[in-house]
Amino acid sequence: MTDTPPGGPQESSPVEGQSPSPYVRWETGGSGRGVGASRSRLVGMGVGLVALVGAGVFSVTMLSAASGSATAEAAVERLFGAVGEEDVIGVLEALAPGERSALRPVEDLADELRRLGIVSDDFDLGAVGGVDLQFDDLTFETEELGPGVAAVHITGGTVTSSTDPQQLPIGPTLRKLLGHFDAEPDFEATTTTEDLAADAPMIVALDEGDGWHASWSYTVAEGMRREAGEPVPAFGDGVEAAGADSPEAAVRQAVEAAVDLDARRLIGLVSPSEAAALHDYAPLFLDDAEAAVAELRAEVPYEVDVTHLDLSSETDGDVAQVRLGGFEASGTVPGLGRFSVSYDGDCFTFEADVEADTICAGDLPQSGFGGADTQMVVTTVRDDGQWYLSPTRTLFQQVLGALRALDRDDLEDPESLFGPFFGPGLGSAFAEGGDFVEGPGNGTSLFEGTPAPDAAVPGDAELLGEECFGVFEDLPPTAGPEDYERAEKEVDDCLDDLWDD
Amino acid sequence: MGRVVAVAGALGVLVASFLPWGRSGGASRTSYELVAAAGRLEVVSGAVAVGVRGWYLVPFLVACTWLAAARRRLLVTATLSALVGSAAVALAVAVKASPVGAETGTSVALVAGATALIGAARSAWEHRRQS
Repeated sequence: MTDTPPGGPQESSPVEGQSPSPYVRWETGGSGRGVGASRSRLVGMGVGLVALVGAGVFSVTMLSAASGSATAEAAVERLFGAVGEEDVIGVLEALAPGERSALRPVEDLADELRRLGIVSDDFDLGAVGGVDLQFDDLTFETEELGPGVAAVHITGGTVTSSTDPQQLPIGPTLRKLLGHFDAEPDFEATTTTEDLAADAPMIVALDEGDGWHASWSYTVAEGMRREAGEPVPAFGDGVEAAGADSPEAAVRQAVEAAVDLDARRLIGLVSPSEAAALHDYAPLFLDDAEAAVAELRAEVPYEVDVTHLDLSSETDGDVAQVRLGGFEASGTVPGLGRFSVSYDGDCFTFEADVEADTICAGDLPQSGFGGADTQMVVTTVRDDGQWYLSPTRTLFQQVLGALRALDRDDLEDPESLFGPFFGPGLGSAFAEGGDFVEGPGNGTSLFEGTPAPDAAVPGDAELLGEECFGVFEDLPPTAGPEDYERAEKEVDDCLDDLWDD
Repeated sequence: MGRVVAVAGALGVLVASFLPWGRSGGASRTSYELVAAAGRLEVVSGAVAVGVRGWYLVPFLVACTWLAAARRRLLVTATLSALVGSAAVALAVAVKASPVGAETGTSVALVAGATALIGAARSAWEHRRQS
């Protein structure tokens, strides 16, 4: 029996001629348990070392993996695959990085639509009920447009779309609104299959150094170029991006460029990562635009000078919201003479040689949007140290701002929401229990039933083209999307004939 | 005993990391694919983004935990398994709280991560007892 030394029992083999140490536990070759323990530990360490190397390779591979696909075709196939699986994350990953980051407010938009009851509470961007798309046997043909830019044509395959109105994520507020107009979707579930080769759609993909990604902006721009018959632009050689040192400076320079009708400068101030397509394709139309501006200035020698801009910004990382608190501008315009216009955050004041007027927010018809933030807000982004305008984010923020000013009660009373914009006649169109009929002789009302208090509109008017819409009333309850498309075309043709007459 | 529990927990985290963690539409993603997506979509930024990318080191850390346990390095085993367990629990909780539909892997990671943390505590206690 040996005492245990401070460092724990030591293991050793007996050395010939040496007295056994009281602190040493002898391991003899005759003890199979000791040898077995050493062997198993060696095996364990060997396994661990192999796993260590494998894990190291795995970690390095994952950390250095490109975010895009190996080819343009693979990028487009990845996009279609994600759409087919309703995989929102996959769709965003398949898009070019600059474009996908601008779409991040989509989740906020979905939250607002849920809150307002426009979509159902269980609405999920990742699993939209009622609509399913499935792409099969897709074949592609790639056309290189330039370095890192390729148009991928879908040359074969099918898309099967299934629609089930019972599964559509219609929220209670929207359902009530649709009920107002007797427009609830009551067609039966349908499934249609189309041959994609017939239309041969095209998606443009980009390789910006991190693999290939699909690009919706380049796809749109390239489609417009082909329609206009313009030549392929020199990618990477378009309008140079020229940002500003601060968010306020970016907006200020954009306002000055807009006043000067300097399209080139304005495009230079747009985020190059979000709107790379605009920078690349702008040379195709800029010369014509600048010539038109020069012609306009020669015919109408106006002068406008923005003397004051009240701008403030809130920055969150590389994104900033710039608010326009007020502005002052003056100048001369032929026919109007000298003029000045100012905005102090509440009232617009216009003064000229011929007239003067002031309009304040309180003077405008009040609606459910009255709680909306009325200040103009422009979203800017920092890219490579410079600040640029972000049109996509600005649009999202404006829409979100308007939605956030509403609640369900506002939408469930559409007359108060929309009436101030359309006037008493059309405002009564949203009154409860309306029917779509010809108006009375002394005014215009799209609906009969419970009249709005100020339903009378001066003049004697009938609703033009009312008889064209009767085709919808002839549709059977089992009508599907194709029947509605056919009916819409009949209405369009009918209205065109009336206008020609 | 502590080493065994710590290694078992760490191995459990490793297995869990390759299971489905999140669903978007009809697509399921492992923990590594979710971390990659979070980085690309800039869901996380700054120091948090750097920390999240550290998840790719989990297999390496688990292998190190195994080696440390085989070498009977109790303190090292405790440290590594605590790191692996904490990362697993934190990431699993984050995914469960996110809009992504959490799947089996998150639950397995929570249990395995907790096991690794318990093993880490036990190993540390045993090391302290010995010293």
